[in-house]
Amino acid sequence: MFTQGFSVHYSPLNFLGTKTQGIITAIRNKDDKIVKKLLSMGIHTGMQITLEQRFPSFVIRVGRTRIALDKDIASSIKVRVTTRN
Amino acid sequence: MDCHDCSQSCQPKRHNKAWKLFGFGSKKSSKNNSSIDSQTTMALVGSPNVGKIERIVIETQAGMSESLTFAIAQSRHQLAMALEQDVTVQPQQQRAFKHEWLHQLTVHPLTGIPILGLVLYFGVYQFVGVFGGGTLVDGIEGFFESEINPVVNNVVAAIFPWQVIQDLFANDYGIITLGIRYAVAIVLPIVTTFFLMFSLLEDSGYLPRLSLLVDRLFKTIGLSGRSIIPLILGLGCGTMATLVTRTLESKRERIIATLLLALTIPCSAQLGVILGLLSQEPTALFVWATVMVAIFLGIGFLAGKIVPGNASCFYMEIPPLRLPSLKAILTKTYVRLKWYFGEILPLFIFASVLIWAGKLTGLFDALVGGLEPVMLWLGLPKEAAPTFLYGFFRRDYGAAGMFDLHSSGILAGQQLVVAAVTLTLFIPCIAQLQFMFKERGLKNTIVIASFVVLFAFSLGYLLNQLLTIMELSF
Repeated sequence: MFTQGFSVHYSPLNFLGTKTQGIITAIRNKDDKIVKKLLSMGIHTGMQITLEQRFPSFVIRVGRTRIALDKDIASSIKVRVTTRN
Repeated sequence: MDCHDCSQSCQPKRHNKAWKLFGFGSKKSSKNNSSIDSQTTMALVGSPNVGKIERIVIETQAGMSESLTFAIAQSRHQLAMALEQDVTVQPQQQRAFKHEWLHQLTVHPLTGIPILGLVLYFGVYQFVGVFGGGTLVDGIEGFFESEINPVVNNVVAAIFPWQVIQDLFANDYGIITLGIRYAVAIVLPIVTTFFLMFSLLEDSGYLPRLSLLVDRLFKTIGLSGRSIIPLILGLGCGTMATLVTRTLESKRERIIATLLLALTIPCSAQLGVILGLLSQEPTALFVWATVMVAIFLGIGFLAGKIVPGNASCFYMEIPPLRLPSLKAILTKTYVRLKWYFGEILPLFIFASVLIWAGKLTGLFDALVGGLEPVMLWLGLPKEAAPTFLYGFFRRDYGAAGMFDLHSSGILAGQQLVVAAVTLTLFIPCIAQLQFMFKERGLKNTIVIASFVVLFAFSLGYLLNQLLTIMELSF
């Protein structure tokens, strides 16, 4: 428990498997506009995120919203995994 | 609400400066910061405040790992969330996942693509094509031919003794017997059934799921999943769809979608007539559909390579699936039909008058005469020339003309396929051209339009040659 609290383990959303849950730790994209769009849709650091689907598009659930993303945008969301099924 | 208090309680300390910067802080700084827009910055040049603000921005940025915009958005969102949690009560068992299984079925590739096929088959082919374009059109058209046109011809003949005036209102190309008949008997049933189906899909929340399914495929043709909505709407009315392309993210995507709408996507009147005519010959329908899909993908792929700009990105909120309310669907359909008829009825009447004037002055005959060699070149009867000329005024007008040609037995078999393909590809109607000009500008419109005309006729020629060589009989 104690060690877990200190292990900073985060990876881009597109590296995760379906049904993974996690906390968003960062949103980074070379295109600032995309970051802004994600923010305006309610995707923020510190929020809980669930990856529902990977193909044909990424489908995530953040808060009460469900959002479809392509791979490029998915890779800009970094997640600290909390559960793995 | 006391902003300052709240920012203290729910914001990480390092965000405080950014917080103040955008007007949530003390009175003094909010006075400065409400003025950060280009106009007032210009007015403030030289004032000591500008330097001060710039210094604050730089200092704040230096203390943060992420960009200022990010921090500000984050802070706002956290504040909003805190506020929301303060004032709302969440019931333990939320019914947010009510139609979860249906959602899973529609977005899973293994089940979603067959569902898409079913939606297209029953929604577009059976409902719009067979029911709207077949049953309804035959019924209303038959009623016009047998009940209304003879009466109109007789009444007009009784009122006006002059043949010229009679032709303006009645007979073969009259305002009532041709313009109104096309609008009411052929276009109205097809467009109504299409808009009904589209509103149903729209209100059920299916369209975003469709975008999600096709995104990967659409990336290869330079579009994103988002563009499926204008393209599907284009199956109803290309003009309306061209207007809707403005919802797309990038200029590049808008240009490609406009091109594909002008070239490959048949509007509902065309689609209804073509499906109605070709469904009697499954091979003919198959050839037409294959050619259209191949051109759609091929031209899209090439356009994706040629049109400058960055590759498009795709993100879309997926709303929950809902059972649409009948009232909402009917209202939407009614509003769209009203817009559509407001747009087309004057053009139909105008086209009738133009044809009448063209016939009177001999201009129309000259144009038809000019098109006749092109028709023969395509292996079509020269009687098809007027149909192509109508298509210039309204796509659906041209399609309706094709319907007439077929019922009188002039167009059949291979010619029907060639005519269907060429007419589908052929120049968008005047209204769509006008909206292309409004949305994309003169240069793009000219480039797209001339490409479409050249491509349509060249492809019609090639297809005719190919079908002759392959000795396909329909």
